Amino acid sequence: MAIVHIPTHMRHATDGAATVELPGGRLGRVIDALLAAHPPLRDEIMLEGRVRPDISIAINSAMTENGLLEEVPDDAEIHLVPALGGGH
Amino acid sequence: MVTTEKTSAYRVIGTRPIRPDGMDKVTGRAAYAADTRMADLLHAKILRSPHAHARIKSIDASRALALDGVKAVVTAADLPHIQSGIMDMGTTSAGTKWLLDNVLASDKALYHGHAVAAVAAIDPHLAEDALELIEVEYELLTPVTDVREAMLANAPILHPDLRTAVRAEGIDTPTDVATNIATHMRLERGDVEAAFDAADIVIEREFETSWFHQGYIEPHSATAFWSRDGQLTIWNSSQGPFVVRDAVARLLKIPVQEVTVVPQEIGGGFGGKIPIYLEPIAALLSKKTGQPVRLTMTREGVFQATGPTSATYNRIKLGAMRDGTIVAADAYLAYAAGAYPGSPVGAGVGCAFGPYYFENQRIDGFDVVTNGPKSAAYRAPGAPASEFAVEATINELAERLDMDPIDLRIKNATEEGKPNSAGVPFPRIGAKEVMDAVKNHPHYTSELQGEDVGRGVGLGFWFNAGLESGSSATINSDGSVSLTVGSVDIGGTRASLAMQLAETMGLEYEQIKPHVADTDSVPFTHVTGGSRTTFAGGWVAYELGIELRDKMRQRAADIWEIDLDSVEYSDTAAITALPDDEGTDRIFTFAELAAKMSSSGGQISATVSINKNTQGPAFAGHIVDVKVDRETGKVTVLRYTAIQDVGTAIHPSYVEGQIQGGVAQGVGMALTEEYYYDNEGHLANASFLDYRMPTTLDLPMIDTELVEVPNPGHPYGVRGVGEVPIVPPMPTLQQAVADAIGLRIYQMPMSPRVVLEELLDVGAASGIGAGSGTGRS
Repeated sequence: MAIVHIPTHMRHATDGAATVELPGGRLGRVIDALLAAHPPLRDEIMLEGRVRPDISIAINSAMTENGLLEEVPDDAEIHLVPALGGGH
Repeated sequence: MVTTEKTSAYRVIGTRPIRPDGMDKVTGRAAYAADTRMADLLHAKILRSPHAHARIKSIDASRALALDGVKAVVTAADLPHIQSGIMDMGTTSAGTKWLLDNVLASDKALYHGHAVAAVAAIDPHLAEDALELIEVEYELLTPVTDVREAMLANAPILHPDLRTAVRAEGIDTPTDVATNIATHMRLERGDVEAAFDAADIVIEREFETSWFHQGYIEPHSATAFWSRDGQLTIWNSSQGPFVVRDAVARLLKIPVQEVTVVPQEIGGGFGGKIPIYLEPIAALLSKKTGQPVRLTMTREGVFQATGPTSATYNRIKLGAMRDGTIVAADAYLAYAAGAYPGSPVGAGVGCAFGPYYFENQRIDGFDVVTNGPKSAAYRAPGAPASEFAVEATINELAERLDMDPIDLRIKNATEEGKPNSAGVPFPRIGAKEVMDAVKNHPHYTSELQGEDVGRGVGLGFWFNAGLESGSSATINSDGSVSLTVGSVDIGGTRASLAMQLAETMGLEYEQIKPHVADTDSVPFTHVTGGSRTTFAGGWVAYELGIELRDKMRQRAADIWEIDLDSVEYSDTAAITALPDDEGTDRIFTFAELAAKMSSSGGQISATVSINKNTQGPAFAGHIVDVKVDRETGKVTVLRYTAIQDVGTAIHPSYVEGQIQGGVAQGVGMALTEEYYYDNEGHLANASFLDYRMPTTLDLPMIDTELVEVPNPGHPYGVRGVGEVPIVPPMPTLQQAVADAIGLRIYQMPMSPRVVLEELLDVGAASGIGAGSGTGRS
């Protein structure tokens, strides 16, 4: 199973869980599964149907290059990385 | 063109050729945005708010419009109504509504210099005269310019609808009351409180930094022409024509395909030319008049209304064991965003502890609106302030532990595989190599002599960005290659990208002709910023080179009537295969095959777009010697050495230049640059005369040492180099001043006034002569 690491500031949306285990596959499907498991995360991660521009996603330490089409291995570690910029 | 000696294992990479745009720039022939000329050009000027915080009750432009020669006036009422959305601005993002309100104030003017209206006239003097005829009725409101005052519960509120977005768990920042705190974010790991309890030594310090402007020589300028067929063309000074195109389309609610942005040469940006200020105004004035409109900021306007980096208040607490292991770290970072949310505090949070790995750490960041210009990116945005606070505290900790400050840093250094503050493990990085290089540098080991002289050291970290780039390349019949890029050339990227294409194709640098194109002529390319252009653009150049090599092999195979696999492309760009059945050699030089393109199937070209995010984080270590004049408080930089992991130095001269430029700007932050606001929130020093930036007369030669730890995430090992050198100067100079006069100064800049006041304070407190006191740790 792939492990999604939840940043501290998003854990209010996962009942405090620091990690969520999900099957691998396309990143878009992994994100869908993550949001299905923890619906409050949608506002933290998505905006207008896509990953918020102030969120980056790293798979096994490498930032994604193909967005939601990126393949996630079953043993991957996924990090949601908060913005370089500040608030909005 | 002159190519100097080879300095690396590569053939072209590592040499120092002259940049293609160099001659035009040093002889004044290069065309900048304000040089744009065309028939029927109108000149525009902006009316700015004289108040830092005021409700706009009415605007009457009738007298201005009645002036002969005045063609149009625009105000916020001419802009579309936008309430929500976030725009990707390259290395940062921004709220769409805030961007629009910053272009032209709608209900409130939120800072001294906020644009309120604009006039287009047949000459610039007439436009200025017309500004005086626009009547604006204001209701004055109390301003707040200090970040800590803005955070108070009873502070004047800038945006009544603003509520704090909490990006943290288990904190009690209220989210249901009107506030100036736009965001409270937190990154945390381990058990911080327990680790502090277990520490042998705990040290806590507070720091303040001023607003610092990027200080680019060229003011912002944009010319717009909205033609009758609905096509809007903009010629401007910007770090990212595609970002400008997309932002203008979004703010004016028009399709992207109806906007073309033609980037002109740029006279410096440093992050400050990523936001848009003038383009929508010039566009609307052009739409109203049917004529092209040019709008160029005054220097006063640049200081008042374009983004400096945030003023900050930061508090750092470190807990260490006696052997130097830092077991706990806590940072409180409050950044003034200016009039609208969006300070670089997020990056400040991410970078604060960047060079180190602490098992227990917590970083709280606050994005706070104040009555000042909206902050913008500025070279490693957000990092200098937070890392100044951490580095300065580490220098004090080293003193308390009686430990060499570099040894303390080496003991706590991060490395490959250790998680950064956001929890993502680092790839191969050169943090320890930089620290070792500092410790072994002749500057660090040399003896310091003289009265009131001191030495300081400090480190810096910056993420570096990757993002999207695209380019095309065409082989010309004479064997040259035209390279068309979408990246505005600020620091010599025409050269660095051409060099990587030449390296890949086995050609000489001089055979590549780079060209910066408009948004209709090249694939989408993100901003020249985030230290990304040589990284991402170089990757594109590499892939272009590979594709062109393969196409040349295919062409030779077609001519020779053999399989592609039988054809090779050599390191010197010869296309070869085994001799034919008659024993005749099969070989084309690159130029020979290029000359045959038209007669063998047509021109050969390629277009590549990438989105590479395997950026290589950058680390820097600086050493400085200073002398302090106790009579005037002036700090003179005697010697400066900057050491940096640069990955592979594609063009070492431009790498060194980037480092020297970053140091110069960092020295300005540390010693002389600051925004002066009076009690009414008026900016009192909006000129280069009064906003004191270092010049060549203020600085010694800045020595550089390039540490090359190639980035495994790039075909040539490139890391970004342009941003991290601005990070270490503040703590490095703070330590040097402390070493010289025994006084630690916790606010930046350490201007002569500040140094003198500190010296006098110590003298008064101790009852002895100024300067005889010790540090107040």
